[in-house]
Order: sequence, then structure tokens, then C-alpha cells
Amino acid sequence: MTSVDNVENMPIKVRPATKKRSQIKAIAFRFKKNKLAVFGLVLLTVIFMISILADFVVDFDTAINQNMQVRLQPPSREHIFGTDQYGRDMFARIIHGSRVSLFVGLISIGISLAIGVVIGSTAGFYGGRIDNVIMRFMDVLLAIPQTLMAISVVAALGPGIRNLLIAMIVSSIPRFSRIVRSSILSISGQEFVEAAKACGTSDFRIVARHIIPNAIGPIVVQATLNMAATIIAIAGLSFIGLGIEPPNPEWGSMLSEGKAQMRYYPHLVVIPGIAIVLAVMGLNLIGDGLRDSLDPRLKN
Amino acid sequence: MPEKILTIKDLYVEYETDEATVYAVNGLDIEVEEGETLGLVGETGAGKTTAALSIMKLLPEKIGSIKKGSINLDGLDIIKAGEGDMRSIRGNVVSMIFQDPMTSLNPVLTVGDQIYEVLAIHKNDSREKLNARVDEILQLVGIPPKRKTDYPHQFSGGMKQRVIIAIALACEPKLLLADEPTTALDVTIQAQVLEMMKSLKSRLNTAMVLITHDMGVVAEMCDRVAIMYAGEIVEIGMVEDIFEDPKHHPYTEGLFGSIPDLNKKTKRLNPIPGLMPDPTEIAKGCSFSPRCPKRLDICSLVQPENISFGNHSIKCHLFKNN
Amino acid sequence: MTKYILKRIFLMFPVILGVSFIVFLIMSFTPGDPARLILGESATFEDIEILREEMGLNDNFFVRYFNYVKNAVTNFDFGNSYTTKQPVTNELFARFPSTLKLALGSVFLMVMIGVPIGIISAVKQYSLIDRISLVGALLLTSMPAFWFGLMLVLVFALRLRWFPATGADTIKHFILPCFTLAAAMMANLIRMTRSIMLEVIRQDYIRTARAKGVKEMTVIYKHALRNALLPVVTIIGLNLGGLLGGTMIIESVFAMPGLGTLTIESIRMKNTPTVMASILFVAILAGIINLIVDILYVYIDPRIKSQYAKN
Repeated sequence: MTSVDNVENMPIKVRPATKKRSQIKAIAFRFKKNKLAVFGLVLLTVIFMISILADFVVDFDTAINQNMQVRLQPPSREHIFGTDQYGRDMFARIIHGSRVSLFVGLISIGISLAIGVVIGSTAGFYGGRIDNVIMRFMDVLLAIPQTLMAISVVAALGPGIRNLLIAMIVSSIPRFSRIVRSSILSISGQEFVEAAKACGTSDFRIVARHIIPNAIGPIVVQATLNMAATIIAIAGLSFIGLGIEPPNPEWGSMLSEGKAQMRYYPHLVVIPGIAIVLAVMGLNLIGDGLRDSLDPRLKN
Repeated sequence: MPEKILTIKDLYVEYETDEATVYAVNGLDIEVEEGETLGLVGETGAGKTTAALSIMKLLPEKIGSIKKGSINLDGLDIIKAGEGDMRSIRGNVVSMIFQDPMTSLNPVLTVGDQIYEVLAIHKNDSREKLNARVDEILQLVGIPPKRKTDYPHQFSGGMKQRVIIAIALACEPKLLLADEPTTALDVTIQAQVLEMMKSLKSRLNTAMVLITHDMGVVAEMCDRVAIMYAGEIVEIGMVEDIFEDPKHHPYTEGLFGSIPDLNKKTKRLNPIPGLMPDPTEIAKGCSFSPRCPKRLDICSLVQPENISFGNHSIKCHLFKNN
Repeated sequence: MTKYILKRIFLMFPVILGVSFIVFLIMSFTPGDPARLILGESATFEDIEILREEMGLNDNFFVRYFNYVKNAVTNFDFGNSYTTKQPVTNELFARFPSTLKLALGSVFLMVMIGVPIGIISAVKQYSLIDRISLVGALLLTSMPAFWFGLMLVLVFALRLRWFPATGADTIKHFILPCFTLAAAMMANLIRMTRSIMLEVIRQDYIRTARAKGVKEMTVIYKHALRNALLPVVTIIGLNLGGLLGGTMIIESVFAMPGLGTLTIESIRMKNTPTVMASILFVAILAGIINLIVDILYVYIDPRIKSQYAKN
């Protein structure tokens, strides 16, 4: 439900390719100055580290072993985040649950981005008939709201992590294709590309040294913001039972399980939610920070 | 003896940003009489627009501020005036037109609406009377009144500028501030618009401060001319003085000298060497001295005074003993 | 102008057809045998085969798709639910009103609250209100809408008992769900409205208005706002599709009998015709809404309007 489609209209900041290294330094400098963006980066790194090192922090078994004697306990010293209705340690579940969200998010964005880049750049670069056909097709796909698309894929294939991944990839490809294509089109149309062609630069060189460096910016911003939306989507699908299957811990399914007991045991619902908010907020802050660093004019 | 409509004395205006303070106007002295056209000439960044915005008190809110000096417009002390007073004189006693006609009109309101608005704010007449006045003005600027229901995008650049002039002169202000009104227009349209402005101006007896960097426009339109550099007036005189008198501020000479002459065959242009001083630093001595081909030692140490030859004044050490 | 509208309506049909094809294609990947599902575990092989023939399940993909579209368009027949054996359309229309009310209520709240906040934020940039609304918007986009809904239920329904937690009978039932959905979409709207308004205020014609002596309030409302409205309406329009998708999940948080919960139940029970029809329905609805927004745009933007008026 997060809408990330304003990046299409973002002006592409253009510099000749020779200044690329100092460009990156300038962007990094502006990013560092943005305290919120840095905070987001730190936040996300921490969460990433936790998910990678999950097994070292706490056993996976702790996350799934049921123990009805200690069920529904509020946060305490033995169970930092309390226990759920099956006596499972919430802390362990949150830690291990981070893996699903982050990795499914990362992989699905990575793959859909790669596919989107191929589709979008083919359409953008070749133009004409090919462009038309591809984009009409994308328009049809985009006519289906993203959430709905994901739901229908999982509806057809069934729950589970593999199908969740497929659903996330399929529902993200059209958007990425569109962004990549419009980035490439708007850069290709600018005068410095014409100038490069007038100097006799080969097509390949133009793409590699002029088009791609300028296109990367908005695409990275979009990817970051899309990943944030994907994490929310994963939680949503798991919440309605179409995502990760029990007993695997996942923040969204923890919410649906905890819902029934929410009234007297709010920690079951509050804590996984906060985990989601932190991860997504980190990504949003990074994405916004990147967007501001790439073109500071947009800020004011 | 014609009345003085505008008197600016010793005006200092600064812009304060996060990064630096810009000293845009540094000790500006100007007077404009009723009905006369004063040309304000200078390069980009000389502070001309800032001076005009200060008169209207339309400097960007948190950034621009008048630090020192006085501005007197038709008896009103501008510096002390409150926003309410200013609003009642904007568009009414003093109007301003800006450089780019393409973006100065509101795209979602009809042209007639936008002219009507300025009349409705300042005049208490009935709707019919005001509408009639809108038609009258449009005709004066050479636009058929039936076009008042059209939107700005349906007009060409030159016609848009006419509309803007219509809005500016609708309430018959005593002073018109025109900031490079024809710079963005084609040369041929430029001539038309200037002609129209001239005739309107004389008809309504409006005084005008015409900001420009085009000496041709100056020759055509102005009674007096002031040359501005780095936020202050370095030379001022009647238009004949400026064009014919051999005595000039070195900067003015540079300006004239940099105009290509169709009669001479030259290989290179003659720009004034160097750049305008960094407006974030206050100069010691004469602000033009670093670029001045005639500079003396004293120039970089002491601020020059205004030396008058009748109506012609020059702010330069070179003329001190004449 | 009617030419333009007709043209847009015409263009919608291929898109709807395309959407139906995509959805049908996706649903065709569903494993399992529908005939077996209907007849139950104890059915004989022959019975299943007979039913399969009847239902046309042995035809190839394109024949099945063609028949589906033909039935849908000519008889308004989207098949029968596997579970209730009743026409799917009955269920759809029974459940639709709740979803519609939820969607409309949410849009209303989103626009009524979000746009003014965005405008005030822009006009009073960097003030306290501005900072609070930006932080608020950041938090709202970072939280899943359904979690926000759960929190609202926790506080306002379970603890304070001001509103009911589930159901869709009275207006009171809709307040928390609409507010939840509106809040999720509002965040983006606030940020975009703010940045659009900021840009408009920097335009030259605003300076012209001030130079005429126009009161600041009037400058904001008459001059700035009307220009900002155009892109803001576009943004609202773009988000409406996502809003419809969002109703699905929110309905299950608040146990509302709408299309969303129908879809989810049907998925669980492998009731493919219902799933297919309700997804198709929502997707088509999204398309129609986009069309309406497009048409609305023509009326609001004088530049486009005059383009078509003169022709």
C-alpha cells in the first residue's frame, strides 16, 4: 500500500561520466550529512546483522519449541519479549522472524530488479514497436493493484516461502520495468547523449559510461523504497495466512496468531509490529536520504 | 518643480542563508520624480532586482532583510510600514513587473480574472464598472477585450507581457518598477512592447524605474540613467550625459566598450576583465577597483565619494579634483 | 470533449481483457482437481471424469479462457462457487457493499485530513506542525496498515470500548477500519501534497499575486492551491488502486463481511471461481476508478479543457 511511484518524475541529475568518482563522493557526503538517513542506515545494518547472526544469538529451536507451561507470559528476565500462546519465546521468534522478512525482501527485490532492468532497458533503448508492445503489457499488469497481484499468485500456488517469493517478484517486476524504462528514456533524450553520438562514441560506450551511471540513482532509490513496501506486503500476506507457514516464525503471522489474545496480552501484537516498523523505517529513511543526496534541489 | 515620487537613501539589504550572508545592496541612493523614467543599468548580480523588491517589500521572507537606510514612496515610509499598508499600495501606488512573462501569470485563472483582481482589491467600484475598466485596460495594451476569458497559455509571450503590464497599470500607479520587462522577448516584439509602455506611461504620467542591461533600451526609454555596480550607484545622470559626456566612471566605459560596434571590424569582443566581486564579502575601498584599468592606489583603500557635475554624478576618485 | 471520454472508455476494454487473461493465467496454476474438490474424497474416478467433461476442465487453456470470457460477457456468468454451488455473482454482490463503504469512507478521510495537513505543512514550512506531520507521515508509511488497525482496536475497541472491534453493521463499525486504511495512505499523500505545494509557492505567478497586493490567505487559497490541486488529484488517483488492494487485508483485521474476506476464505477453501471472480472484480474496479480520475482531470485543468473545447 505504500506508494513509491513518484520517483518516475524525479529529474535526473546529469554529469559527464568523467566526474563519476567525485560524484559518488559528493553523494556520499550529502548522505552522511543527513542525520535521519544515517540513522536509517545504522538501524537497517543492526537488523541485518541480527538476522544473519540469528543462530548465534538464540537457537532456532527456542523459536519453535512449544511449552504450554510457560505460555502467555509478559516480558520478563528469562523471556525478554515474553512468550506466546504456545509457550514459545517471543524474543527468539522475533530474531528468527527477521530472516524471512529481510531475505525474502532482498531476494525478491534483487530478482525483480534484474528482470525489470532487462525489460525496461530493452523497451527504453530500442523504442518503437518493441517498446510499445512491452509497455502495453506492463500497463495491463500494473492495472492490477500490487497487493491483489501478490494475493492471486499465492492463491493459485498456495502458501509457503517459495510461492511467497514468486508472488513478490511477479508483483514488483512491472513497476521496476516502468521506472528503468523512463529513466533510460529521459537520459537518452538529453543533449549530452546527442553530443556523445555526434562525437562518434559507440553505442556500447554511451550506454556504459553515460546512461547507466545517471540511471542508477533513481533506480536504487526505488529499489530501497520498494523493499520497504515488500516487507510490509510479506507481513500482510502472512497475516492473512497466505505467506510463511507455521511453525516458522514470521512477524506477520505472529501478529495473526497473537490477535486472538491481544486484549490481555498486548505484547504478542505490539512487539512484532514494532519490529516491522523499525525495519521498514530504516529502509524508508535510507531511500529518502538517497533521493535527497542524489538531487539536493528536490529537498527545498 | 516636479514632485519626488521615490527617495531611497543609504539603503543596505542583505540575504542571510545557511551558508553565507550576501550583501546585495550597499549604500544605494536614488531619487525618482513624478512621471520620469529612470533607467537602472548593471550586470547580473548588481543588486538591481533586490533594490526593486525592497521598495515593494517583497524580499524573500526569512532570508532577505533591509538592514539600514530609508525608502520614501509618495510620502510613505516604506521601512516602517506594516504589511497591511504595503498591501494597500502594492498594485495601487506602486506596481512591479518581472522578467519572465511565461511564468508570471497564474495558469488556472483567466486573464480577465487576474486583471479584475487587482482592481477589486484597490477600488470600491461596482462590478460593472470594474469589468468595464478591465476591457478598457486590455484595449490600451492592444489586446481585444473579448480575450479576457482566455487563459494565459493561449497567449504568446509578447501578449502575456502586455497582460502583465495591463495588470500593473490597471490602478494607475504613480510608480512602475519594470525588471527587465523585454529581455525574455523577441527583438521585434520587444520594440512593440516598449513603444506601448512609453505611450501608456506618458498618458498616465507614471514614473518608472526600468531595470535593464541593454543600453539600447535605455536610449529609447529613459530620461535619467543610473549605473549600478556591486550594490551601489556608481554613476547617474540624464540620458544625454550618459551617452554623450566624455566623463564616465570606468565601469560605464567598460559597459559601453563591451557593446560590439557594427561599424568596426574586430576579431574579439571586449568584455570587462574579471568578475563582479563576491557578494558575500564587503569590499574595502572602491568595489570596482580590482577590475578597473584606471585604478589608483587610493582606490583599494578608501571609498570614493559622489562627485557632481550638474545633473551628472560619478562615484570615482579619478574625478575628485576636477 | 466527449470524444476524449469515449476514447478513454474504449481503451479500457483491452486493458480489462488483458487483466482477465492475466488473472485467469495465474489461477490456472492452481494445483489440484476442482472436480474432485466438488465431489469430495469418496467420489469415483468415473464421476470425476464426467464432471470434468461437464465443466470443460479437459479443454485446453485457451478454450477454457475463451469460454470463461464468453460466459462472463454474455450471461454475466462467472461460474458457480465450488462450495455453495451458487453463482459466484450472488456472493460478490452480497459482499460488495461493505467493501465499497470501507473504500469510500477511507478515501474521504484520507483526502479531508491528508490534504489540509500537507498544505499547512508547506505554508508553515519548518514549523512545529510541519515537523510533527513529517515525522507522523514517516511513521505511518513504516507501519503495516493492519498492525495500525490492530493497535487501534486494542486501544479504542478493547480497552476504551468506544468502538466495536469487528463487523460492519453500523457507521460506528466503519470508523476504525476507515481510519486505519486512510492513515496508511494518508502518509504518502501528506508528503506529496506538501512538496507540490512548496513548489507551487515558489512559482513566479505567486510573486505576481503578492505584487498586486493580494492578501496572503487569498494567495494561498486562490492562487497556490488551485494549481497544486491538479497534481494532488493525480496522486490521489494513483493511490486508489492500492487502496482497493488494501481493503482486502483490513477487512480481515476487522472481520468485515466484504470482498476481501470473501477472497481469503475462498482461497483457503480452494474455491477458485470465487477467487478468480472477486480478484477480477476488484481489478476492473480499479481500472474504472482510474478512468474516472482521468476524466475528472480534464475538467479541472483549464489547459487540457481548452484543448478539447476548441476541437
